[in-house]
Amino acid sequence: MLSSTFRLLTRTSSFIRPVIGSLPRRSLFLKPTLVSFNEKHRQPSMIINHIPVRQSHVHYTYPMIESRVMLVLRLFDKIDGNALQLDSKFAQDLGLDSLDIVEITAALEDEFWTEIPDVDSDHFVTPRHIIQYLCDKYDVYEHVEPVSAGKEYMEEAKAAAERAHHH
Amino acid sequence: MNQFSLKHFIVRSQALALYRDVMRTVMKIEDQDYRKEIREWARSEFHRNRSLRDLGEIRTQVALGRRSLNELKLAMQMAS
Repeated sequence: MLSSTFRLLTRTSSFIRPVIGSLPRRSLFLKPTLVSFNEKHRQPSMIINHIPVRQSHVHYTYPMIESRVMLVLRLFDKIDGNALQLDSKFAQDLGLDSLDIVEITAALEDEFWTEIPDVDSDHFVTPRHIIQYLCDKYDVYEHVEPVSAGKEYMEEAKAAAERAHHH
Repeated sequence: MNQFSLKHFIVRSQALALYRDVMRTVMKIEDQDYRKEIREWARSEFHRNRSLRDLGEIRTQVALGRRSLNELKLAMQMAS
């Protein structure tokens, strides 16, 4: 079955050559369109671009990361979209196994233009972990409550100073 | 006592690494139908052999899988 699949792959591509127009990957939902290859109307911009360009000025925010991760998870056919919550565990609640986690990780790598090593994807238990991991990777802190050490520290320091003064 | 040894753990991580390489390669296929077909084929192959417990058999299957992956990469290069 493998060899027939490969023969199909190589045979059909010889008389239809789909050329993917290289669109800039500004928006994450923009997918490259298939344009039929025509000798007369060939333009240098309509070339298969295997080396994708990474936009370096994309500003990562927590809502953006969360919505993209949930979208990737929803698009996965083994996940039930209704049962998917931020805290639903992959193994227990959604019934996924290690092979599915690897697939999800590969899809996330594709979406976020990054590499996620095996050691990290082993620790993904809920979608929240994935979002937290990506936030750490891209230094996103908006969702973290700021800990103000100023006020409490000053009061404690004042109390300690008074105690030391009065002893 | 758990019958899985360290060697099992190592071989398991090799199999998962192979699956990761397969998925990453599959993501690069432009045609959506072929992508789905190859992905389903890879999934079925891995799930078919998931209950293997003998180290030699597992290693053989992983080696076969790697060879198939190289063939797939070659076929993709020839098609593009």
